[in-house]
Amino acid sequence: MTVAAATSVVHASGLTLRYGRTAALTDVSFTLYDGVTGLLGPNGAGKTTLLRIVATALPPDQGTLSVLGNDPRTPAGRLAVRRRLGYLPQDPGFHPGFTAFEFVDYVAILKELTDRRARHQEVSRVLDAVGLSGQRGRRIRALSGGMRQRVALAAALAGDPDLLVLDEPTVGLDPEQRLRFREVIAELGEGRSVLLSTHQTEEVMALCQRVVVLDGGTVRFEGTPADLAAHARGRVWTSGARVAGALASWRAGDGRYRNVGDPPAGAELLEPTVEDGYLMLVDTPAREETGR
Amino acid sequence: MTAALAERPAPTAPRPGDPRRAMLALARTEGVRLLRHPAVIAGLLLFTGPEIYRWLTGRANRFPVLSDEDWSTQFLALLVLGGGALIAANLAALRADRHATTGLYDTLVLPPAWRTGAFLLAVLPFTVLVAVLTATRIALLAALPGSAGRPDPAELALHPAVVLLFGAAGVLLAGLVRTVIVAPLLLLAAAVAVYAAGLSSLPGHVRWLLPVALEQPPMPVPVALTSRPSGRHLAYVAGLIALVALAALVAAGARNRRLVMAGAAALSVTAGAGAAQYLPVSDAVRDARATAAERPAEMQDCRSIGSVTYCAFGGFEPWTGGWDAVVRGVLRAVPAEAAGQPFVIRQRVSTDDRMLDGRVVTAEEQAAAAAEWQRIEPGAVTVGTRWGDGRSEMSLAGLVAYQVVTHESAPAHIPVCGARGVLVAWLAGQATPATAAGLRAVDATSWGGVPFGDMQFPVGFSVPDREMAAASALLRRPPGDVATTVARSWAELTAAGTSADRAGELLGVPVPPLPPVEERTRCDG
Repeated sequence: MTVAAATSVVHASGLTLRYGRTAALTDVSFTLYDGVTGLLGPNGAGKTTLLRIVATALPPDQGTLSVLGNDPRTPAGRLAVRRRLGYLPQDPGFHPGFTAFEFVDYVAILKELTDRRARHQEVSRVLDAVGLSGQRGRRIRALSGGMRQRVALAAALAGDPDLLVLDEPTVGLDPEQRLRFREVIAELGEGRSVLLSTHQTEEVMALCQRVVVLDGGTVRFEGTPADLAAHARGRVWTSGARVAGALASWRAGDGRYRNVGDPPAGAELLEPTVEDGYLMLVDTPAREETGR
Repeated sequence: MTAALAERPAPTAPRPGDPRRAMLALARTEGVRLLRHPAVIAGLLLFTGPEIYRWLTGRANRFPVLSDEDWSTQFLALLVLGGGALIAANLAALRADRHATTGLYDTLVLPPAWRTGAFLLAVLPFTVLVAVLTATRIALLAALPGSAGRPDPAELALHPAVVLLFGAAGVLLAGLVRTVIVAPLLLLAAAVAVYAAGLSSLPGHVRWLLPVALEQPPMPVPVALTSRPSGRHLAYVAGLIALVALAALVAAGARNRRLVMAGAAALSVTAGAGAAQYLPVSDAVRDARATAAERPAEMQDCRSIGSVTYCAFGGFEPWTGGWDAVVRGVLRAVPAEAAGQPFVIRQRVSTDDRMLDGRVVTAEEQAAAAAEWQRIEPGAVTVGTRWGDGRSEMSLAGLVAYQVVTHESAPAHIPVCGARGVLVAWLAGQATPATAAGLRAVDATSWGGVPFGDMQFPVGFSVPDREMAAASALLRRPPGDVATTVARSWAELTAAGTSADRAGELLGVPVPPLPPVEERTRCDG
């Protein structure tokens, strides 16, 4: 799939939102296509706010937004978006007394899946999809954190939405659970759009066809992960000792130091990663623009 | 793990439907959860448990007055069933807040107002269950051979109506105050208000503005005399339910013209029915009350068994068999010439507010009230509209015994002392197992003497402790042996001047010594 040929699923232009005197988002513009898009950014960058706007939980103060061809600012548009949306909040609450099946079924009802038989089939399907078929009858209070997160993902998947908005779905998961989640999300991205908020660059590398970097409420980058990595091309080098002037310098597994920043002349340059590109963006003032 | 995602099942996956159907689906889910809620289950157990226990242990009254039973459980229904609905509905409606799922639910399709509608509808299954329980209970009571009167459907319908009202209030509260503590406080306030109004601690007119109106007097009356505005009160509560439900929808963000119209209609019904509750008692009821008080015979059917005629208000005829068993029990123990005199057992109701309110205090007032009472039908023995509790049986037996012993109508709640007191108490106690049990129960809770007769009637008497002690000793002996002794000394025992000590000598039972003068009962009668 090429970007040019793809249809935009979300198009935002000039989104601005303030919480009192604090600007949460300032003039945010981006376009989302089919496939998995990662939303990277440090804590407080405005990722959750942006996702809540896309998920129709929050209206922007300014700017235009089109989600799945609808304007969420109008009641009808909002309803149309919600009918095709799956949303996993950063801290999805649960009803601890519900079983996994009951909780997903409850959410499915709120998604207006009214035919009981078809709904129950759908709930079984999504629980199976997240690997919780065997736990469907267990109360949520008895499930581990990873299982709960999968219940929340199953709830987001109910009704087979065209757009999935996932706010840091792998936070708090152990490595094995994180891998399982990645597997699920990767498959979800086939044939639908997934907007995935994370601050883990390896997740972006592993899952995302596109990436948006948000910092301080503004978009600092929008493009492919490779473009983001390329942002640090010629800025990553190895040395035998810590380099004081580098943006970041750490000792790697081979005992040598990996440095990101402005290399000295003759430095031994390395192939940059997404993480290097991200570091270059967020640790540098916003004078350098997107690599799009 | 992800095989189900390999192919998007879009063609077969259910698509969002219309909000009405989603609301009904949610209501069904919430309705089941509400029925399984501990507060609701506890309410059901508290409502049915004591009654079932009484039936299983044989303590239930087998002579229920249906026109009394139909409303007498309303307060309990409010407290435990309405309370269960209030708390369960409130917790359900607050669940998203309590468990922090609002962030997710706010992005789902079904709008909050429709969800609130579902929470309101979810109270209906419990309401229906309460209606079935109430109907089953009254049907079982009506099937008893000793049941009297007939139930009022509006009084019965108030039980589920109260549940619906409190359930709707729980949903409304959740929309107004995001804390779970308010619902129990509301329940407590409602219960205290209803109880205080019932005890006249609040102005009398207030009670009909509350969901349940406790009744004063608690004495059952024939259906024709009932003046509770049950139909209007039910309409008033129905209006309240509609108002509360509409307020809950508005609090959830619902705004439309139909809601305004429905609110206006509900307000009209509530105000209209609420005001209509205060209309004066109808002429028909007022006439029926006057007739029942002044000329009860016109409203009664009489049945003669031997020398005794039993007259009961319409609907109370099944009780004459029970009355006869008590009367026969008294007459069996007296000499034939005393037992053969004709008796009229007349069912009466008290409509004298002074008696009902306890404002007849002095001996002169009591004597005047008793004389007025006896003027209606001199010589008739009064029986009330309660039966099956032991005390009623004991009172009838006492009044019959008094008349057999003294050949006089029942006095104005004066003490009956001396041998007459001993004899009357023994005759009453030995009549049937129920009178014996009633006498023991009353004796155990009385001080200074044992009262016979309903205190809401102006006629009756009491037997002082000293005479009761002798009678109790007699009751521990075989009744046949005592009856033989009684018959032998009948003339002396029934003479007005025979003392309790002399009765003790004649009957062979100890009589306690006279208490100090200041503690003695004045025996003017």
